[in-house]
Amino acid sequence: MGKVETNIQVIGLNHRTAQVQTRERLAFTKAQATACLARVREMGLADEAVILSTCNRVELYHVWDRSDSYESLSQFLSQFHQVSLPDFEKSLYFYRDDEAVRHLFRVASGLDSMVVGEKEVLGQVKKAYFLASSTGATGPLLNVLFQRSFYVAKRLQNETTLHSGSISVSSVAVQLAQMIFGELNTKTILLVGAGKMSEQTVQRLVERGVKGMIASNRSYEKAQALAQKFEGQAVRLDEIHQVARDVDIVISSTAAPHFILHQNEVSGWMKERRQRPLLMIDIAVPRDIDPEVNRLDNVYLYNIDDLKAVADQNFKERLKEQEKADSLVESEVKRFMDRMIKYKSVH
Amino acid sequence: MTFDNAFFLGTLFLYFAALASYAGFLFSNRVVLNRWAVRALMLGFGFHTVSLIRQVFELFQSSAMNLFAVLILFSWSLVLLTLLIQSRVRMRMVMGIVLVLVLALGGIFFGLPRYFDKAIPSFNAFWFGTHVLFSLLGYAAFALSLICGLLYLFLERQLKLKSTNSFFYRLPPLESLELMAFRSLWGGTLLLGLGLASGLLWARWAGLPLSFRDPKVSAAIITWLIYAVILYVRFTARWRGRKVAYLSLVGFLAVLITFFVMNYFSKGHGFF
Repeated sequence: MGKVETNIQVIGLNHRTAQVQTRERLAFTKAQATACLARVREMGLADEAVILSTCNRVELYHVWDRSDSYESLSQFLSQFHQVSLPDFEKSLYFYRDDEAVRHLFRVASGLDSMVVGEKEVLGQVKKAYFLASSTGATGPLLNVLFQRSFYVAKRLQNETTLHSGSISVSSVAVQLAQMIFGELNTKTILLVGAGKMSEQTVQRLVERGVKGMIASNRSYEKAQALAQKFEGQAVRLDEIHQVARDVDIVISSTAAPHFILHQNEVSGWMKERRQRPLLMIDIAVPRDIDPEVNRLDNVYLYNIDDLKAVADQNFKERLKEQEKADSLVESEVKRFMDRMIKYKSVH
Repeated sequence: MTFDNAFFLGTLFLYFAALASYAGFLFSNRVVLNRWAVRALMLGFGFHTVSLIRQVFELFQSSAMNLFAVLILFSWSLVLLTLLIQSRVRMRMVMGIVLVLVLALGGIFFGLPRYFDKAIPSFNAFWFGTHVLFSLLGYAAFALSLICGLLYLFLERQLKLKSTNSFFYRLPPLESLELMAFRSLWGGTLLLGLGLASGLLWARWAGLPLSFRDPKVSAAIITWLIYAVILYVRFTARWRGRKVAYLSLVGFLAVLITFFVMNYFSKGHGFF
């Protein structure tokens, strides 16, 4: 098969090629993007165009059948944003035909993102496309291409686990909670102590719809402040044994130099809570919870190292999935290019 | 090939297709495969039901029964109960294991004689049929409880050891497994209780010399008592989770002994 010429091209820069100070100077607001889409076509620099501008990338997808489009478009970008070309030329990339198709498929599916596998970028690509199509800047080629990229992104979400498998400590905690409890909407969290990572974990669990949260701290005021933040309730540190019956997930991160929860205490809790499972997450260093607690039936204790180990494991799985995702994108690019040949032979 | 034989072969084929699609889905995550699996499964269950009609009819008409009929009735009950559970919680893994079991039973016992070899006094055939049906549903519920319990033990161990892999994430949540194991335990105890009661009533009305001293009858009652104890322990929340799962292993061992081994010792209850 010879090289298929579709005239689909993309010029742009992203988080890998350009520093944030360069990216922000070339970024488009919605109004600027609308204006630019019109200008590009008025000036005869492209037949169809879509501008994708996010905090990690600025890209201009376009269809044009002239070979010097790189020069004219890079100059155009420089003039439009009034940034001198040498300032950003080194960061620019330019792809055409199957390379451009592959690039868009990878961007839409999150393979080109800073955090590989993130899903938000698909929404941004959709917004960029709808803005362009609503102003009439897209035509038959980019319409088909972008619709296809949404499909490819969805396929990747469904068929690879690139998007699951948490790789941060707080999301591993959420994942474990879901492995144990399934739905979290009847569950309550007890947060003992405070700290960035523990609050982040609570935040994630709240996003997953936990029923309630109880905050406890050596300083009651601090507990109250945390409780207020997450619309929970505050208790004094010596009162946690009274509320333990009603909590399902304990997150501990105090600055105490010794264990604050021992096996016999937690064993007492378990009788009180009729052996319902309990997930305990000990983020503190030095640790807050006696590791012997993990020996109790129906108690699952994870300390910071355990969480990191799970995260590492997930990361390895994700690398494996990456290969699968790459070959999936490859087959979709081929399918798209084959369709382009048919399209060209008809038109 | 007889009518129900053809349907039973169709059942096995469709269950196999469903199992293969589930496996494909687990491997590739292609949603379309899951859809195919569900279709094949439902159709297979329909075939399974049709292939049973004559046997159940005979059972309620003339108390006729044989091992083959018992086994396909058992596997039908197992699929039915799993479908009922699955309507509440997504449990493809459980259904997959059930299908493997059903296929193995069907495949191994396909060659068994189909004629109804034992003439059992046929008065009060209705109570006899009820006895067979409830007992088999009860045993199927225990088998389901065992499957959920084994998966529970596996996942529990992984969580305690903190070792995770991609297979781990495909299992249903721990609490759902426990709940399903418990519910089927509960249902099984109830169903087997009804099965035993209707069996004793029937024997009494039929004037059979069947007594509590018959090994099969006493084994069934012991089995039932074991499960009743497990339920008691679980209800009073002394034990939960791992220990209950181990206990239900013991319970199922009793089921197997009652179901297969005791026939050789029982005089009055040696059918199939």
